Amino acid sequence: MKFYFIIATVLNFASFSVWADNAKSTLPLQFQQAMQNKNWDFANVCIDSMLQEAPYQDQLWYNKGVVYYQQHLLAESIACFQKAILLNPFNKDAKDNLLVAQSRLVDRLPNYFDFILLRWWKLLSSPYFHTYWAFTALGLWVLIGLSMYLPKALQTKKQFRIVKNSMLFLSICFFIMAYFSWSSLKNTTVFVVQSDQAMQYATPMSKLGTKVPYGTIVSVLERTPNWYKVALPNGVETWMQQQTLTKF
Amino acid sequence: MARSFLLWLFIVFSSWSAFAQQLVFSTQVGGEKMGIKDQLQVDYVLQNAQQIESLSPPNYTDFNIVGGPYQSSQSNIQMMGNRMVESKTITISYVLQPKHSGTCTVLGAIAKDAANHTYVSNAVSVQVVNGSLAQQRSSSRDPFGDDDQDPWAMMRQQMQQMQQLFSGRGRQQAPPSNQSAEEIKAPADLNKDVFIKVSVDKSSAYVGEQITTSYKLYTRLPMQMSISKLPSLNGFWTQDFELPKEMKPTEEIINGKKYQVFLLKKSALFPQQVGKLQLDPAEAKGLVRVVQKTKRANPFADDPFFSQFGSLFMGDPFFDNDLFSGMAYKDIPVTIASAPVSINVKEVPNTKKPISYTGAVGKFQFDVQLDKLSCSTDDALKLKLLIRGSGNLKLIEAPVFDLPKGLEKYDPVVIDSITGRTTAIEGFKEFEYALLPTAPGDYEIAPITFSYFNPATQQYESIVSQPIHLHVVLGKQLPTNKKVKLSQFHNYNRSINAQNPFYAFDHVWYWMIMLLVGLFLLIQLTKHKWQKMWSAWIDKRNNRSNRVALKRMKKAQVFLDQKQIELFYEEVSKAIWLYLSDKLTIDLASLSKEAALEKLAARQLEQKIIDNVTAVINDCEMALYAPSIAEHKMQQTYQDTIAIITHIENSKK
Repeated sequence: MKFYFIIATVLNFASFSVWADNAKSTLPLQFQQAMQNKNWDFANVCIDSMLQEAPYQDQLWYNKGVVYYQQHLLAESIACFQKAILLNPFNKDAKDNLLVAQSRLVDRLPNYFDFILLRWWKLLSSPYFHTYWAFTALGLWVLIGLSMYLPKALQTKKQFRIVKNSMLFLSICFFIMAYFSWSSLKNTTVFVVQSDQAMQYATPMSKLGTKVPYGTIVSVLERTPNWYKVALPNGVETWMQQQTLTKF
Repeated sequence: MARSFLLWLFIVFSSWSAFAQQLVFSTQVGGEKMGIKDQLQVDYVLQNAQQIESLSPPNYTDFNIVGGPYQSSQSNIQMMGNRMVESKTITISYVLQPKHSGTCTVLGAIAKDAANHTYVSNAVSVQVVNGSLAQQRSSSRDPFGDDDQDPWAMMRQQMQQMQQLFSGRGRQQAPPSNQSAEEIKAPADLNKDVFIKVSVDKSSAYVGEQITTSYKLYTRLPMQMSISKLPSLNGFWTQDFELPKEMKPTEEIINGKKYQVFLLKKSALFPQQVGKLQLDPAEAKGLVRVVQKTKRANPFADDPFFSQFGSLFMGDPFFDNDLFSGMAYKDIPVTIASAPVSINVKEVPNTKKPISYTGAVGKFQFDVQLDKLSCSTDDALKLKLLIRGSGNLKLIEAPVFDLPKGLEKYDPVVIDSITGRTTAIEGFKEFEYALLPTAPGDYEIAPITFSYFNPATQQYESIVSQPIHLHVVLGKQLPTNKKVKLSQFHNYNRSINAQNPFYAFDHVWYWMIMLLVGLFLLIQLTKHKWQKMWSAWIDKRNNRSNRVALKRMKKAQVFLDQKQIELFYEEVSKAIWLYLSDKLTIDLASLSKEAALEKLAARQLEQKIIDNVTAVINDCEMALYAPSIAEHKMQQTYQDTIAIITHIENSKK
């Protein structure tokens, strides 16, 4: 048993070296050339091709946002920067550019739900931290396993048992966090309003309500074939027609 | 001449309904009466349909669908009299066969548009009789109308009645004029009577210079035409001029012939590349109605009255006039196309080209506006560069200019709009920059130069704006009025790769390691529990082996009393081997004398017991081959076996 445990530990640390680079593509170079030549359409095509390979690469979404910004497509640009931030909350360039792009909108809805605990939770459960949580949980398990080979006299002490049980509890917590951050990858879809839309409801007899400005990022709560129930940044929930939103 | 006018009027009135511009959804059938063996074509016609999303056919109860749906759409530019009407028509056709005779109803179809409005076409009743009426209907019909209402048919009928009245022999009916008439005039050369002509205001131009092009339809005949192909105009940025929806034709005389001219399309072309560019031909298809004179036999030739006085009357020009010669018309399908036109496109001159030239060609005005001349560092400013005029507006790039330090500039919002399309393409292009003053002070925005090439003077012209003075005071250093602190817009990231970040949960080996480590932990944490369970199980097995062995020995005692040697030794052998297997935890497959003795020795039993075990096993083996020899040892073997079991049980305790 001791032998197998050592093998597992060695495999664990050896596996870090498995992150080998894929074969290098010419697309990044083509993208750079397109950006230098201000050929925004082709740059967008290059980025889209790369995003098919790596849809969770925040830098690609950031660059796509820059391309849209250069094309004066503010709503699309905002959505791409937002997506880059969701994938990597520490992407400062994306944060800066998002502010610049949003500052150019005529109207914006205030964000009422940006309090600190929610921000922390969003940050800690973002996909960016997933691997940290996953390997911390694994490392704690390995430590607990190794501790079983300490002298019997030490193992019987109460303090040792408290430390061991705490480590076990923490490792389970980290594992749960890893799961949350991993599953939040699926929630990085960004919907952005494509034109100044009045709030509407999913019935033909609906009345027009407050205007939702162009470029507003909304989160989709519910879907019907033609209508989406969305949450606006100010916390208001409403129905909007599918064609008024663009998905990234 | 009078007849030509009547014919023209007839064509105008027969297609009067096409003038309507509202959406018209109708059901049209091939006839009101048909045979049960005939097939009926039903057309659901959507006129002026722009945004129809779906069309659902009805469930026919009286008909079977034998063909369709066949869809066709047509954009028509129709010349009706002195008016030109443009309309779009979508037709969905079905071929139906009646299920029964009597009155059958062709139900209306349902169409929906983008705004989810529903339109239902009218239902049409058809009288279905037994047999087939198809042959009766196969006679040629005038595509423009019903024979009953055809003035020319009525006229022919009147002439036939006159023939019969005056004819001496003639009770027999004259054959139809169209079939009997001898053609006296061949159709005219249609290409000279109907054609499309492309006219351009210049055949040589600079890149970006406006070329005005017109596609015109010239005709001398009544017709019904539709544009089948518009030119693609590759190599040009185009902007169409507005044409009135109902345009009156103009008249032009070409080679002494008067033509009616319809303007089909008028565009401003801005060439985007140097070289010889070609304007593709435009094509139109339709029917042209050609009027033909037909010569009839003299209706009075056989009359005795006229035969007597024939020489007197027949020389009269009255009998040679049109009354005795028929007028027939023929609809000829034609396809006409314009001739391709080449345009030589030159590069704008390189000499004296200003540095500030950004590709504008035309005639422009330039203005620079700043929304505030005094502000604080908390405010944002808007700098507008407005280019107004006629030319290649959409192709103009923003003029280049620098700002003094302390003023940050963001990428502009570009708005362009075409405001005039009557004689020249006019409009404006606006570049709106957001400026942020980062430090207080007095700034001067230097004059901004906008240069363009004027093809009229064939020279570059530059417009220089006035300098703008801006006074910036220190703000409150609070977040800006937009509640965000703006940073510089960052450019794209060069160090990118098409590789997803590492997500441990996506990798199998992560789960394998977790499983291994988890299992190890589980085993380690529950090791004592497992050990207890194992010893309990061993104890249970030992107890069971003792009981089983004693049971077998009781049976052996019965065989001993009965002196059944073979059965006795067989039972003793089973008892001792199974007991040793359970007690010493040796699998039956690997159970042997040596293995058993080795385990017994490991338990540190007395040598005497081990020897007894060997002796009992040997006795049992020997009894299988020589039962007579082992007979006297039966009692001894029995006692030794009991002693072995008892000793091993005691030694365990």
